[in-house]
Amino acid sequence: MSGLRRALGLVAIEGVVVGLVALAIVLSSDHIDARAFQAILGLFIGWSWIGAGLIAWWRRPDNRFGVLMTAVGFAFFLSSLAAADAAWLFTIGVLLSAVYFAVFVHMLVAYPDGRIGSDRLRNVVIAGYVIAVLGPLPSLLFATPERLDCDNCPQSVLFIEDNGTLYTIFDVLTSLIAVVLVGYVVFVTLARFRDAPQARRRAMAPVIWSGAGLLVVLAGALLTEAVDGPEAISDATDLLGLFLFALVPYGFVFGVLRSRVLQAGAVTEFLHRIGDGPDPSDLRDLLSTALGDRSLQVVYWLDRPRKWVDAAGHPAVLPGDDDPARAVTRVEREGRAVGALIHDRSLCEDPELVGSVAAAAGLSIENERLQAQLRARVEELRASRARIVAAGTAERRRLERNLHDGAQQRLVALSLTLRVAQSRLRKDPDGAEAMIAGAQEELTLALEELRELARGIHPAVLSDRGLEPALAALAGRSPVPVAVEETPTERLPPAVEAAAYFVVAEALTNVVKYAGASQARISISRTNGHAVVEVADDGVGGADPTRGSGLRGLADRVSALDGTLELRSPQGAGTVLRASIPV
Amino acid sequence: MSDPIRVVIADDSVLLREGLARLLEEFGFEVAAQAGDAEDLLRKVGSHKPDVAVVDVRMPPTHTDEGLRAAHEIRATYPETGVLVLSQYVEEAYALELLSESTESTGYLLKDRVADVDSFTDAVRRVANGGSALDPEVVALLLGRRRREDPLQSITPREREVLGLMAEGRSNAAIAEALVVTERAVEKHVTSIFSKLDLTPAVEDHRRVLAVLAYLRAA
Repeated sequence: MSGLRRALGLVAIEGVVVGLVALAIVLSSDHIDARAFQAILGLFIGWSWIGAGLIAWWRRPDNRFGVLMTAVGFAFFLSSLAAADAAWLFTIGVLLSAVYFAVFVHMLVAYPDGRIGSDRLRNVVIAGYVIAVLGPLPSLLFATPERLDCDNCPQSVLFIEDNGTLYTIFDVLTSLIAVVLVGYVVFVTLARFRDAPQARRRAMAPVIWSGAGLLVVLAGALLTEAVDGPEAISDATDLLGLFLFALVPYGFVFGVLRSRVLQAGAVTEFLHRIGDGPDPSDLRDLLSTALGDRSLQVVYWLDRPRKWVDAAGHPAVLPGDDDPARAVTRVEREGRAVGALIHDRSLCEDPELVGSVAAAAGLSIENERLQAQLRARVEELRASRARIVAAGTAERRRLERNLHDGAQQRLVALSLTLRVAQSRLRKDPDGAEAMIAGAQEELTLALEELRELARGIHPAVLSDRGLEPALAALAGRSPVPVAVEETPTERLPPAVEAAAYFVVAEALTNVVKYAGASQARISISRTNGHAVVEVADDGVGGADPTRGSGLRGLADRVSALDGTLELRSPQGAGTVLRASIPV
Repeated sequence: MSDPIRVVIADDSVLLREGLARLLEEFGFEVAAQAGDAEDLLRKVGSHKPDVAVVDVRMPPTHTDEGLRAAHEIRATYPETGVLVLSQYVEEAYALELLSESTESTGYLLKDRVADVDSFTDAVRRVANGGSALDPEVVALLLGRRRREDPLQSITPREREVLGLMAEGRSNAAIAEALVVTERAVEKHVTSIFSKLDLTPAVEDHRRVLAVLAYLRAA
């Protein structure tokens, strides 16, 4: 900061020196009318620009706008060289006499954020500089001082010949190009002004109107000159142009002050209203009014699950740092993120304003955040409830299908076999006996299928004897070796036992199907009022928690008991599924 | 003895298909072909032109009502082939859908019925010969959901039995046998029922079934 201050101090001193040099040149000139008036006015205008530019530079060091504004002042002093009596200085002065206009156009195009929005605008700015230098060239190449109505002016060092035709063609051509460029810049500037958020417009208005006005006058002056219009008009536009040019830096300072005052008013009003503990829907409107940004959105940070949501609890996405239109100001309380304001990027020009409003809104946003958290939780519950119902329906359909395709078919076939055997009993006793033996086998298979199916619905041993034998049975049936390391010594509530059992069952199914593991271990422990179920394997890892409906269903089942399900599965380092269910 | 009735069987369960084939052959039918899905069935019906196809309702690929749709198609394309649809459950909607347009050469039976060989083979034979067969459970459902003030209330319990057997698709002779009465007595009951229910008497059995079902469905 002190580095910047020192640098700006040096620039200010240079400004003073350059200004005084320009003053001296003009005062000593042989070919300037009303020297004292011109010299003083020039000094006043140049210093105004440099001063206002330094203020802008100091306020927003990252914004090129301040630099450009200061540069306009210096370029303006540069044009004073045209007052010099020495021919070569005079030539340079005339050649560069319009450069300050090009810098001014550059500044206006980059207003207010210091950036040139597009390649086309960049080309316009470059063309401005070129035209600014080309414009005075014909008067240096093809005109004698007499032709220019300046008898005391020195002869240009670039003078070739006195050629009225070439001079006029050249001059009219550059003037017309300049008029087109200026017209385009006015159009772009006004369009940008129209699209800015309201609060920005308040600050921008003075610079935009005086700047655009100046450009219109300039265009008028150029046209008058090109068509060789009446001298009275040309004098009037010159005077008006100079007046508007002097006005721009003051317009800038005025705009800054005015928006300060208005914003201070808006912030005061905001503080007053926020004190009443506004309704959630009002909070956004209050913030939007205070910041003058109708597009403002308020989002809230949830701790569990960690995500941004809007006031209704729906997930929200923050714009990135590279978003050209939107920006984020985070709101913290006691060092914790509670929310964020998503606003027009142009508000970044005023971090103090957004910061102070955001800080003042902290408490309300925190309250609102708790509401949003609640709504997000309700939303999540609603979704999981719907999934549980759907899973129930799917499960019934699966059971029906299994019964239909399995045991039921076998039993029907069995009754057919028995009926045929019965009819053969007398005429072919051996055949009948073989059929009955086959029927007996079918019956055994049907019974087995029914038993498996019943276990899938709810293992009887789990209700009768608890988790330990039920898990042992699961482990025993698994093709991958499974160690049961820990089970609770006393019985848990039936719903918790069932959830724990199915977490293990699903995890073991996945171990067999996907993990490529050589072994797995199960533990169920009671910790801090929770039953913690853990199934770990030494397989390939990299399990995708969104894969299949199995894990999703488990997560729903566990969260229905207010528990949480976690999957850790780094690539190549095994998988751990852990459920924690309050008991 | 006339030529045996030729049957094509369609069921996705090999176990059941084989069982059915063995049973039907045991009781004098000729099983011309077996099919595992509806497409296979239509192809085999086309090439074998059987007297009747015995078709499971649920078959691949969707395991919903493929058999039913195949049945409609067989009836439309091969009028000489009857269709007896077997279903694991009583689905009244399926049964009525099947028998709504025509009851000729069409039947709908609960799969469990196959073990009751006499009535199953009777049903297969009936459908093969242009008659109809409707599972007693479906008939019971149809009769059971009639309202109190219904004209059905005015018929006697015996007439109700006869009505049910008519709805199942049985002939007067079969009804007489089932109820252990004379055919003459059955005829009297039938006439009485038709007049009480205000139905036009029909000569052919399957037309009679259609009339009775139409009446029962109109509830």
